[in-house]
Amino acid sequence: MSTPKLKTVKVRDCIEAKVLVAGEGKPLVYLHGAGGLQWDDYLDRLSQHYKVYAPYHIGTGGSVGKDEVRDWWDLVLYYYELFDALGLETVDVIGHSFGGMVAAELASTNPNRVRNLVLVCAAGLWLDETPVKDVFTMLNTPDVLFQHLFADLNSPAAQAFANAMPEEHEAQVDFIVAQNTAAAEAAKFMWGIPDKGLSRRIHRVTANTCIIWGEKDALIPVDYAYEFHKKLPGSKVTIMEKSGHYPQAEELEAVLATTLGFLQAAPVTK
Amino acid sequence: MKFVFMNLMSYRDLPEDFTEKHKSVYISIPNSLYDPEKGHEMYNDFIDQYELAIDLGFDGVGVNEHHANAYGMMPSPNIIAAALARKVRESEKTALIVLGNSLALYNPPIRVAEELAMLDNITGGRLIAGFPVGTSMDTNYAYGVNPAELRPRYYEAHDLVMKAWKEREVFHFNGKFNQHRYVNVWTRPYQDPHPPVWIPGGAASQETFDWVAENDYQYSYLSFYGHEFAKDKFDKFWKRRKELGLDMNPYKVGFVQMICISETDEKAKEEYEEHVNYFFNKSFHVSPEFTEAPGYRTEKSVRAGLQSQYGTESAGAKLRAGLSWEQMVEKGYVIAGSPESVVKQIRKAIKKLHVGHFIALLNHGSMPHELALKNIRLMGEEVIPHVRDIWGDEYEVQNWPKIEQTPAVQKA
Repeated sequence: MSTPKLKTVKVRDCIEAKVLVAGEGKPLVYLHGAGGLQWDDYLDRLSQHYKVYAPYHIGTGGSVGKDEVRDWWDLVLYYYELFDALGLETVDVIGHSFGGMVAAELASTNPNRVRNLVLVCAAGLWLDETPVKDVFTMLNTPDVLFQHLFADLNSPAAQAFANAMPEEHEAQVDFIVAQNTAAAEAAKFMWGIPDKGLSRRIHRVTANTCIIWGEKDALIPVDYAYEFHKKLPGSKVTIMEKSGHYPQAEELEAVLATTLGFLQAAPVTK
Repeated sequence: MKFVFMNLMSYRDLPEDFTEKHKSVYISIPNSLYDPEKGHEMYNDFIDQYELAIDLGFDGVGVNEHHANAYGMMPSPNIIAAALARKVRESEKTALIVLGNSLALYNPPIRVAEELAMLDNITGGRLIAGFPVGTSMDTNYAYGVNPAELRPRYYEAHDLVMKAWKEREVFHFNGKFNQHRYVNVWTRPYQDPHPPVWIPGGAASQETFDWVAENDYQYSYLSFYGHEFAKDKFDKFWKRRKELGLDMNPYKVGFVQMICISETDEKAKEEYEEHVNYFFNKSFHVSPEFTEAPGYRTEKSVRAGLQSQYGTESAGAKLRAGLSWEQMVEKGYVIAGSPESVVKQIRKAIKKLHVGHFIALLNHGSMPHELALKNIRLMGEEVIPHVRDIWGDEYEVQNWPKIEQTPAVQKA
């Protein structure tokens, strides 16, 4: 696996973003979920085709200025300014889970900024009859969290996740603190019910959209794939039958093929 | 030395198989388990218990705030405080301590300034105002406050309430969370400019110590794990005060302790053990789902908690689990026994922690009303008189209302 570069980007006075960057070619932004940013095989493989920018969510990864980004609109504007600082006028964006909620909002609020949009098990909508699970209640019980993330708990992807905790005590503390902070900073924008009004703005999206979901997603049920599809006419939906909330880990090849196929085939303008 | 009676008001009749059938006493407990007829009886018993404490001359009675649980039946502490206010007014010297309005839960927080001012007026200036942040269960889960906003909201609400009590003209308040064109707390507090302020908490963090010191408030360490578990927190508190160049006045802190008193040590075990066990095992049966939302504590506190065996309340729960009655007494989780032995244990705890405000929990879990009354009576009649003089005239009583020994308002 290639090692991405950790780039510090000054977004404005008092705000510094941390972004992992790897690869050459057309730019592609990846927004991670509430579990925090890990440079995984999916990102690595994407970086063989694109110049991948994976920002750490503000407040994580050593970024500075989270108190300046207080609410949802601050976050949206922060991302546009980060795109400006990176020279990304209009860009392709992939968002996973919480990152999908942000990506969909960026494409809704200012449709000019997002050309192609990939939503992987994205948060942001709410169905009373099929509530999104409260992932934040699972942090104190890693086993329960684990069971909700993967379809096959014995798969190599699931096992890699389960065994990610370092053995040495200090490293373990760092690991748990980082995980807690990632969740805390995402919770700041998702707390309670992770529907912050996207459904009232999503009609503005002009980006070509591809929706990728794990059939067995136990956190954000697959019903939400169809709900996004309903709200984004013309979007493409791909359901990964053997996946839970991390299809890009559980069915890497298929998700990669879908992502690349979509991004490469998508027309330049709609 | 000041002694305060506090009643957690636990629901005392959870089913035998509660812990097997239900994951949590907080948040997810179905209220079908709540029997309103029993509730009616319990509320009135609990208020009777408070009234007995007032009659016995306790220095104070304290109420607190918890939501969506069967562990403390006071979602609104101010309602219980109001039910006690008149009796407090008529008592010789008892103060009324609202150990908690969790400030971030009130919208607008002006409501807290108003209600506490009303209580202060009714009692003729006998109120102590407590402002806890509140547990994660109460604030983030039961009341849905965003954990990232909880502390900023708390501090802002504090500033608003204090300003509302101090200002004598209508003012505007342009906060991050509260924007008010007109703030005007009519019925301002009886005490001028406001009641003494206590900050109850369970985290014992240096940030809190510093903030309390800066404002000259009293810090109350509220934990159910007793004086031994509290020792390192109090050591930290006093060490920090020294570093800040402040005095060692014990009235700068309060401390909560579970107490069980009977005729003899053996009888105390016989009478109280099952109820203390009910408290720890049932009233405090909190699912790990809800113990702490991410963001409830700062990153720094989370790290410190992981590095210390005694860092968090859940550490307390782990240390206590499986202990026998004798071990719980020995390790200070409960102070129990005959009045003589309770006097000894209390004296030791007070000296060890260097504490001036002692908050006595005397009604635990499933205790029947009569036993609670007995415990309160023994505390008031046979224990407090022997420990009241611990600090003598060595220190000035602080963070306490100036109570005239005759009632502020004479009865017609």
